[in-house]
Amino acid sequence: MGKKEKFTGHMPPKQEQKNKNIAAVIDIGSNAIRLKIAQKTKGKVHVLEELRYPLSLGADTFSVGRIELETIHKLCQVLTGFLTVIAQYQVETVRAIATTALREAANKDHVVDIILTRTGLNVEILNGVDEKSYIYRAISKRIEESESKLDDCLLAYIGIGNLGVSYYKNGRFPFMHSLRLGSLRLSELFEDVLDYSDNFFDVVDEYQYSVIDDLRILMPDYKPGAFIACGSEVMFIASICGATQQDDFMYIPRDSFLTQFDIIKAKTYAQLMEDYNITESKAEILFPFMSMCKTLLSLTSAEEIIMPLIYLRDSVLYEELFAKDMEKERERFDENIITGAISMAERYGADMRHARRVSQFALKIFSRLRKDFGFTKRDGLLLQAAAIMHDIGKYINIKHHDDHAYTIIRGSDISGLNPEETEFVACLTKFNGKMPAPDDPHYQSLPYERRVMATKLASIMGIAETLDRSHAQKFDDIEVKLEEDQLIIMITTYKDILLEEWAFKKKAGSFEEIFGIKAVLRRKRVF
Amino acid sequence: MAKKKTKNKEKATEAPSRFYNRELSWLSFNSRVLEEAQDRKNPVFERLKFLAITSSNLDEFFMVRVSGLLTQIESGYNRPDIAGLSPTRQLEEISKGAHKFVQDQYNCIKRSIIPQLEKSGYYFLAPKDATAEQREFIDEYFHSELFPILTPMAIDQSRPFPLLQNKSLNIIVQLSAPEKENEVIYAVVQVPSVQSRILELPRQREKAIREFVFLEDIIKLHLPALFQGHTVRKSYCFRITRNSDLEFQEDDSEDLLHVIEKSIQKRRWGEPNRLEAEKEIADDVLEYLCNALDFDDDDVYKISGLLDLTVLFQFYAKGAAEYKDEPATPQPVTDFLGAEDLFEVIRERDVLAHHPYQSFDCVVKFIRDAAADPSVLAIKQTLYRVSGNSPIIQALINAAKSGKQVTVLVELKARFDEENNINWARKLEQAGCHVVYGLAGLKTHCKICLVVRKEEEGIRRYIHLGTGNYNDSTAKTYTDMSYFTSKETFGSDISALFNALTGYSETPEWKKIAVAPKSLRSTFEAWIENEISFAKSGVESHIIIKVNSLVDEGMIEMLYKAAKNGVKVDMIVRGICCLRAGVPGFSENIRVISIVGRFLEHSRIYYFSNGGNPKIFLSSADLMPRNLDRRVEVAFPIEQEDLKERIRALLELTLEDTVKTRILMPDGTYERVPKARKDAVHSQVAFQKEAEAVYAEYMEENKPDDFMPIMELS
Repeated sequence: MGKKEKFTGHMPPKQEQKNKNIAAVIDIGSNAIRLKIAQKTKGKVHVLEELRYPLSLGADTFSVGRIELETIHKLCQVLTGFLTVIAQYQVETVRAIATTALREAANKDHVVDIILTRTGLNVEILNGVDEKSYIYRAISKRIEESESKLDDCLLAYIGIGNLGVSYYKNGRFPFMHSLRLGSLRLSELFEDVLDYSDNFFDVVDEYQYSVIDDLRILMPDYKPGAFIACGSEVMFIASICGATQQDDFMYIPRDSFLTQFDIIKAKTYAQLMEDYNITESKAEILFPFMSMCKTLLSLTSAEEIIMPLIYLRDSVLYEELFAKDMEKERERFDENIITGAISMAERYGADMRHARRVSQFALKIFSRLRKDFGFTKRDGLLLQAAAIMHDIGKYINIKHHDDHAYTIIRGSDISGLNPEETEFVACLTKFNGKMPAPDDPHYQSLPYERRVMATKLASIMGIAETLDRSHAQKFDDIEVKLEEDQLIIMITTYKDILLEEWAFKKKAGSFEEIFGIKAVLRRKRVF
Repeated sequence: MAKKKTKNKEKATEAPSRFYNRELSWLSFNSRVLEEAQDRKNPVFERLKFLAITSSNLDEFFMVRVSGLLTQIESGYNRPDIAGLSPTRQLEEISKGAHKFVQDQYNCIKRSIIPQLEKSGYYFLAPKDATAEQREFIDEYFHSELFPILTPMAIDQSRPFPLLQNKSLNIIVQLSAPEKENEVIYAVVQVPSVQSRILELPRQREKAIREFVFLEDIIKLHLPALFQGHTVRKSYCFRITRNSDLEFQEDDSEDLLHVIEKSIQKRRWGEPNRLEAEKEIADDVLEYLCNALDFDDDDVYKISGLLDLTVLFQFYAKGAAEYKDEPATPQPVTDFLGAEDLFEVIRERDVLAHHPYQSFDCVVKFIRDAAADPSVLAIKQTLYRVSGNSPIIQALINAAKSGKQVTVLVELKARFDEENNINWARKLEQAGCHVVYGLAGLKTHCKICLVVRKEEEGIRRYIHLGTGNYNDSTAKTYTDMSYFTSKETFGSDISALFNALTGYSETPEWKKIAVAPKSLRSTFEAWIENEISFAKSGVESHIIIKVNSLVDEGMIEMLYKAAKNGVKVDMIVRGICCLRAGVPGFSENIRVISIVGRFLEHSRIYYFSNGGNPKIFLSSADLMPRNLDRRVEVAFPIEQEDLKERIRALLELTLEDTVKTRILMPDGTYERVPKARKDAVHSQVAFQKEAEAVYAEYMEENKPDDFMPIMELS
């Protein structure tokens, strides 16, 4: 999510997005540190430098839970070298991004701080959603540009430390799920088994299957027709499985993948290293990667695995170089939040007509207030998502349904929402137009600078909700005016709206408390 | 040479092998250089320069190769080499060969060069032949200039035999003790190296143009003045050579610069392995020296005449132009003429320069321009051997001072240049360059330079790749090739190579180049295999390789295999060649020639006919195990059609040479091309003429009009 009006604490403040001619991305991954410098020439990305230094942060994080001091020293040394190369190109933008291995390290804040002090480099730790969003955006852009017109596919991002699974249909991702399964994570997890068992690969295979298979509950009730897998090992696996290449996509027939899978499974690390001339660290992650691929493939009816040659650093680099062009792309992608919220609401049997209506009214009010109250576009998306899902708690019990909605949302992966945003949206449904008590634990759990914003958005949602209190969609639209110290909502209907007026009045009080202006409902009568 | 041939023949029958021993092949190369000294068709001062070259070559051979064999034996390693000779056996053969060689050298100087010098008016005098006036001059010189700096070192129970510096010239003096005429004392006097060894005398002889005397003779004449109270009984000049191969433990923890500095100190005092002494040396004195320095008879070389012929390098400067080769002026590279800057030209097309026929100035200018150009952001370069007052280093310093990012990879382990390179490294560092010393365990031998330039359309990278060092002074006598390109694939390969050399990144998959130690060998192997498959399918196939040395067993076997499968193999190997050419059974299809001439053949070219679409690489690498496995070397393909054609023609002309070519015979000897078989072709001369012609043609086409009509009235 390039737009940096988010509230992740360690994100550097970003100035206005401008097109850059030369950009550099440092990718602090689980297995290696990479640098890519590229320039934009004639509308294309032109790679100038590509560096890779093997350093396994993942080996630290996934075994002892933190990055060891020695690794931090080495990391700083590598980054200093990278910065020397960056200095040779008068690079305009440098982004240093870190993924799972650093994200999950207990000492991540200190690692980031040490790097900053020692090298001057500000490392952004991408959360899993942001990380995958870059990839998904790149994939959907490529799919649309390509002639294949892929649709209805299962999409997997097989990382070293986590697995992203999503579903792509009609240019949207109604479903994005993240599992704590990664190629290196798996192999580290079962390292001790390796010493005792010849069937190490079987254990890995069974374990990942049991985890991934649970995804069926969340999936559509039919098998998607295509399967796209991306991740670090794509190129290598494609090469050993005899893939064919077209543009940026590699195609592996299902059969040859499965044959190769059995061959790999029968080998030891030492044999893999020798037979494929690869390093030990690569040999270690090869099988878990393929094993996850295989399970995911079984969730589809695809006859081939499509592997796009798309990597996180390339996607970040592309978005830096083409910031302007990507803005639309980002906006479109952000709408996955709405798609995701809708699929959540549907799953929990919400009254969809009501949900859409509340979301519509909330957005209308929001838009009127936006300028004066400094809301961002993304705030609007979060508000809409909350409005769509505000009733889903009723799936559990009508009583205290706000509490249940909070629990459900907070515990779900919703397309396009990162963990902080998920918490935020959950809070909106919980507050639902009421002013939370100052010591409300949910209120307290929000970052300080977002608390007031949460109450404002929740209040808008609360007002919007009252306008369809009867779930009867008594009117199709509202008109919103902002006059001096009052917000006037005009409705036009011949129907009786006593219930809505009653409900509105109940919420108007806290609205005034929160915004400092009155909320007034006016009705134009028509007959 | 005739005798040498028979000797080699014996060897061939004794050790029937698929390979030659590299040391003996090297001795044979040095003999080919000696042939140039013996060749009366060469001007006399050129001849004595060749003689000096053979002498300094031989010194280095003892310092490095012989000492290497000695070390092997000492450490108990006595396994035979690829030719089947054990180190002990090799040393025996070397000793035999070297003794014979030294005899040839001195025959040449005494019987041929000195008489010819005298005919030309240059006299070397023994002090006894000096006229009275000259003698007075000599005495005066001794007392005022020499006497104060001489340090006679007597040897007795309290004063052990002095440590003698490697390659220093010394005089051993046998004295009688004062008042004890029968008791013998020895002393050593080092001939000072701070003074020129050649002293010019006032001209006296009518026929003479210039007359000279040697320092050691002056000292010998005045020994009594140094040992007053003693009787000087005998005195002889001698010289020792020491083991000088630096050995250092490369260890990450210690600063490489430091380690090498320390071991240079040690080099001066390596084990002595050769004693050269005046032929007249008395047995008792020789025995004394051998005991003191632990020499066997085999290590002793009795010299009839001047010791250490490298002194002739100094003498060369004193010769008149008429006794030297006509100077060959390196021609400007016409591609670059008329252009604002080199970058403008390289942006349009690749450029190739053939040194020394074409001037090395373009390379210096490339770096200088880059240093001065405000659009240039960064310069990266490798340095292996540089000249004394290198304009390239100066340019790099300037670039760093003007704020550019300058990365220089100085190879500290370049043999005998270690000290020199440490000095440069320090200088560059002080100027703000980012200096790195390369990779532990690998010498960085590739010659690559990268300029990063910010232009309107974005960043563009300019590359220079060479077969020879960034050394403007040797570039005047070494034949090498320079290649300039701005092709993006080369840019990214060379950038990546620097990132690997600086330790910032692991090596990537190369797009264009092949890099030792990882992919160079396999690349060459693949291209040889490619030729083999062409040959097998009946397509005419041809490999031409031009290198300085061919030693690597694996590559030789590949070439045998190619030849056996019908690939035509032409090898131009100037120096050591362990491959046996034209031997029925495995190498009938291989022809090996060696060209030794005025310019040192140094370019490395690999040509594969590739079914009519030739694949050509230039490289910094010879075909030796060290180049393929223990160094960072680059082979880069030449792809622009006109340049490929130019290289092909160059190879063809070289193969046609009849004047300076020696052909390797199946028995391991080298023979000249039979005369009168066809018109004489002297490739080096032809290349010079060609370069001159290209330049002349350019000037003709671009000369300003003589008559400039006035077009309008002012």
